[in-house]
Amino acid sequence: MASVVSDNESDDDNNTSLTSSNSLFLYNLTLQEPSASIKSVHGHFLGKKTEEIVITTSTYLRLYKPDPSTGKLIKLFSQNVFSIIRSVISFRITGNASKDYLAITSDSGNFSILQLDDSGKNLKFVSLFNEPYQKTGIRRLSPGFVIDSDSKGRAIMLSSVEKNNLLYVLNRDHETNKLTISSPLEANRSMILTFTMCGLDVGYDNPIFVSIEVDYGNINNEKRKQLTFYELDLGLNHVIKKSTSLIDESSNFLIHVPGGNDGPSGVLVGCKNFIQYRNFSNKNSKILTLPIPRRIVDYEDNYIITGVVHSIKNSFFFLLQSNLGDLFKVIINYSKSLQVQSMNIKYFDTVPIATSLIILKSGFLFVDSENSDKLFYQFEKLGDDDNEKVFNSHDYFNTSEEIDNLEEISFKTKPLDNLILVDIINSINPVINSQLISSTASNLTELPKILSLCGTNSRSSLKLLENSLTTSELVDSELPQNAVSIWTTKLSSKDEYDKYLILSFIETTLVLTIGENVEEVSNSGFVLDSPTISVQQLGLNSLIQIHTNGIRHLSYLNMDDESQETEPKIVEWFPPAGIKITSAASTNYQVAIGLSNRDLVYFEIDDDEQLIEYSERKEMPGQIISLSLGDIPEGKLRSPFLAVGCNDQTIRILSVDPSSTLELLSVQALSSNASSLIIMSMSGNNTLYVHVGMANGIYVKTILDPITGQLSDTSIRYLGPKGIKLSKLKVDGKECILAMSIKTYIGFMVKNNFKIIPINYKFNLDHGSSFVSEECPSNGIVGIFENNLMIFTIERLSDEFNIESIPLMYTPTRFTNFKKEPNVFYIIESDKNVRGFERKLIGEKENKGKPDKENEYEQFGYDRENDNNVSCLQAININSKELVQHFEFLNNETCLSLSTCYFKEKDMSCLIVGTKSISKSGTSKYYLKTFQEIGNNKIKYLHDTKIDGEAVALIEFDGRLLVGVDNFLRIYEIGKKQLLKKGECQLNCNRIIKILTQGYRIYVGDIRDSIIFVSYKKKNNLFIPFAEDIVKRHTSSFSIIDYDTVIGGDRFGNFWVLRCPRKISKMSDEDLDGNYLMYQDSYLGGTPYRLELVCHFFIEDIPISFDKKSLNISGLNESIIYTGLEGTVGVLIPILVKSELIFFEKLIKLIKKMKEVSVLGRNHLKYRSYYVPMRNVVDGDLCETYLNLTEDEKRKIGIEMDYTVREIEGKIASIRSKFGF
Amino acid sequence: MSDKLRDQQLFDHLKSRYIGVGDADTTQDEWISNIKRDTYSSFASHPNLLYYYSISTNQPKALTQFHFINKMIDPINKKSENENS
Repeated sequence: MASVVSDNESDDDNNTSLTSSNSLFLYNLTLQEPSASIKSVHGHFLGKKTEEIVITTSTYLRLYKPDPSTGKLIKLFSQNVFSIIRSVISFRITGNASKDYLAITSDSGNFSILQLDDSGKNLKFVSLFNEPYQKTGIRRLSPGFVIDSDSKGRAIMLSSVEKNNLLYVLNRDHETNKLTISSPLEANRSMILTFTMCGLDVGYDNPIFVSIEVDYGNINNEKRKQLTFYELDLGLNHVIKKSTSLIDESSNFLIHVPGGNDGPSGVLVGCKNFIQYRNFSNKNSKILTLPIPRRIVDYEDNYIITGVVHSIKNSFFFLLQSNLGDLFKVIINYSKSLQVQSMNIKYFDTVPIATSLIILKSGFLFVDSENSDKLFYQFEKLGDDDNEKVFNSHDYFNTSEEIDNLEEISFKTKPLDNLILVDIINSINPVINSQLISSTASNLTELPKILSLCGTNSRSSLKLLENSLTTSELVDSELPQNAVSIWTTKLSSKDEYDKYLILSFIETTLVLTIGENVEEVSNSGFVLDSPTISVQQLGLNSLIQIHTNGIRHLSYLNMDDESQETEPKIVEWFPPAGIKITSAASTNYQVAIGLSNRDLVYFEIDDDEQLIEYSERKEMPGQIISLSLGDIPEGKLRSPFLAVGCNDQTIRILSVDPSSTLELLSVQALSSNASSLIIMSMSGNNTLYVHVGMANGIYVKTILDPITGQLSDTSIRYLGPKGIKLSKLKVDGKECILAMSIKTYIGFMVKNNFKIIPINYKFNLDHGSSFVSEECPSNGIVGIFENNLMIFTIERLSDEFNIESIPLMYTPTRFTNFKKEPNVFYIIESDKNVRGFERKLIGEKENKGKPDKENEYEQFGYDRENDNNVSCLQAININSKELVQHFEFLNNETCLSLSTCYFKEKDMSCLIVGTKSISKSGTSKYYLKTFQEIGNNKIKYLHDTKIDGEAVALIEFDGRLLVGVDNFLRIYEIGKKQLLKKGECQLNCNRIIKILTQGYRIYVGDIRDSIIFVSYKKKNNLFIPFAEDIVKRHTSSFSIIDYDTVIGGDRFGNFWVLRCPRKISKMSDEDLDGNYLMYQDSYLGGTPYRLELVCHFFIEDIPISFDKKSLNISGLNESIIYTGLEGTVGVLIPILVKSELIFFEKLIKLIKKMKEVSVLGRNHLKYRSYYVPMRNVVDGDLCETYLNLTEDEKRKIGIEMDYTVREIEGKIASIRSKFGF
Repeated sequence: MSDKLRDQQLFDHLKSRYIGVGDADTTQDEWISNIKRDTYSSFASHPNLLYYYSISTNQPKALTQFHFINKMIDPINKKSENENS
């Protein structure tokens, strides 16, 4: 056992390993940011004519630009605000109509106004104002629960849940034309709860805000809900309560009605089953009422949950969404004198339940859905001329109580009619359970996958996340034999698209034209009977083919005549007899070839585009394997460097400058032969890199000094056990590198950070090259795999995760698999308040899949029925993505837990499902349902075991089943008719939600009593809880890091690491019969010992799973991967060396000193210590903000740290890439 | 004596200004109501908790929030107690 380094021993040596000390340091990095949004807003943030959409999740701001011509949403950037966003709006101040601003309230206690800064290299939001108004944190009395602006941008009101309201007056400074903000005006009222609030549109009258409030002071009063109008008197600069009127107790939603010259002003109030038009007294005091139409089959209560108002040319309409996802179009009819007359409502379409809806002027609807992918629709029509039934307010009185005949106000759902889906933003939220599947040694082409149960209701799915780029296939065809290499080329440097596709086989070459059809060219002039090494478009109108036996130079002089059939003029160059060409490199102006006698021959072209050989040949010390000439720098004729890879495991940089042709500049030794070389600079940075693909599967990127030709700053990445071939590529306008090994990778720069990510395609390319044609103008790749030729495109570089989705039936909760069949996953799914289907009982007959109306259910959800639960067990093969088995539970049951269990004594593999069934009279019964594995990926229903409480946690333990029922631990053995109880222990906790085991130690996670360590003494069949936590944590999930250490998360958004002191751990194991442990004195009414807190960190998202596995293809470098409910995927990297820890801590300190970390003004340390002070965790997200600083700021930090900017950037990048990304 | 009086005045002022400030006469009901209101408002306004509850109750976030604030009106069901007695 390693000795524990005591704190007294001072370590002057910074390279001391931290592994031997008792503490654990973690580096937290978010790999995928949360996608569950708070709200989305749109506006002209860039100050151009186009509209942008800002999607706010609880901690990130993401800016999307819709492209009206293609209907795609393009992600511009996302920004971590290191704060919890509560509410957000976009607004524009009067007179200054160039740009929109964002107003945000957050847990920082500040009222923040942000502006988009597009002056620097990277777009970002910067704060104009951070006005403190309250304590930090999200509190009952702190305004910011809802926030809304006056329609003319003159004032913004902030409301708290209780009592406090604040109003800020916004103005424009006439001299500087800048936004100014007043000190806040208070409008506080005691014992008032605010449900929602909105600003009215009153034109240029005094701004008016309206809120739904309840006075809880007088509890005996029946009617308490009121609509309160607050008026801001701009002249007197104070707020008055203008009027209050009683409204229905179920009112929950407000949306303003356009006013001023554009409409009657006022507000729509959404209540249970109806909508009302209201306005403040005097003008337009008429109240109009409309029912919310109901689905024919569904008589449950309807509420409006979100809505949007859109004005078009002197008229406007509302789209309101009900809690079932139905959109309704509402129109208000008013007279010329702006007096309201009536209101209409009709069914529009059905989309997923959204947090906000956005209508863009370009005719798109953005649905920011709550529990599934975010959807972008285009309006096909506005529902003006369909046969949908229209309901008019003339027919209805003040409340819905008069409506007896529900059928009268019903409508029939229909597939999308007015909208067309044009784009999807993939989102995995909500993640309900998840698990990482590492790549196994036997199958290295399989990347590590994160398997997640996502979504709710009929839109739920099993998602497979893989760190790879999504592709879409254009062509896949067969070739006569296995090809070796492939190139595309233009014929003239003026050509926009590639003309020829050259395929090299082992002994021959094939030339194809690229056009409407891909056809073989007979008169290309190419040498076809020997394999090609390289092809290059040269000068203006020439092409060279370098093949093993020589160079053929083809000139297309008559290209302008559109007579493509003309045969080119051919000039040939041959190596000495018996010598072959082994490698080649070329630019538009230069050619270099390596001969089999180790000679290097260099050519340039003259004015007539003829190849002129350099007088001298240079003999290299080894066989030349690879060559590369770099890009031609702008304004220059030639590339100054030639990289040569020889078989003595070196690369050499030679100068090809006319003054020093073929002079050796530098040598770099490698660990293997360089099978492929490319010199190129990457977009976003002018540095020249040498990319080296080695025969042992290691990829190296090293910086080439543009003056001296020296190599420096090498970074290494292992890509798989196969030699690497490299090729240049352009994706999304960025220079990229295509690396082909056992998988195909693309390397590119993101904000000075180099990333190399595999692509998700059915084949792993043997060789590939970029492809540009009329049909495929960008992102195209042509590749070969054995005898397949395929052309495909890369979708976008910004999505680092490729998400595959398998639809499920209901909201999934847990999943598991048998060790024997790791690809078949069993999933339990349950939904509340849903009407069941007419199905057979379990065990009698199996049903497959969703009911016939599958698509319909996916769009509209299932029919609702209060207090009815539905649930099922599904088996899904994740390789074939097929449903293997389906069991529906019918007795109003909910599935709680699931586990596989191998009963050792009976030699039976079983699947156990814990369920809860509620009878009509309201009493609950609890069962453990046993299914037996019968081979061939099938299970069969065996029996039920009635138990006395909810079994939320199940696990196989010691060849038997361990169950957590409320606060009891029980052991069950399988019997003929039911499971048999073999042991029991009551723990001092509330409700066990998860159990893990290692050896005979049991780790029990409780819903609000943290983690308890229990030792099982087999000899006496005894459970002895011996260590528990000091703090009562509300565990959401936890996992074992090592025998004594667990990592867990709670529902408030923290994760923590707990450790059992080594002495106690040892003692608990040495005491074999438990006699000593049993009679230890209980400490403070709990177990005799306590766990120690090792790490603690606030991540905002609720952790759902932790996996200690490797994200690398090599399976090395384990880290902890976690997923969160809101869709976060993060990684916790252990910091092993003290110098590394000191480096990052110092970096964080300096970044904090340099500028405010949070754009909303939240103190970073307080944010990460929201509930408990953070401990032993380095915030990697903050470290990575270093990459976004300006060069000047970076340099300043570098000087203070005694590192160069490049070194700091390298360290930040290397910790990320070493552990998988 | 005057100090005590001033202290009392200061305390009364704080009590009226800040909700939840208690004294020796605070009843159990008042105290529990206050705690419950704090809890419900926390559930309604922390985005992660709101999302958590909205998924488990199978209803939109907007409605979950609405129900939480509704519960703040009478967190200990005093009204129904009064009616029963």
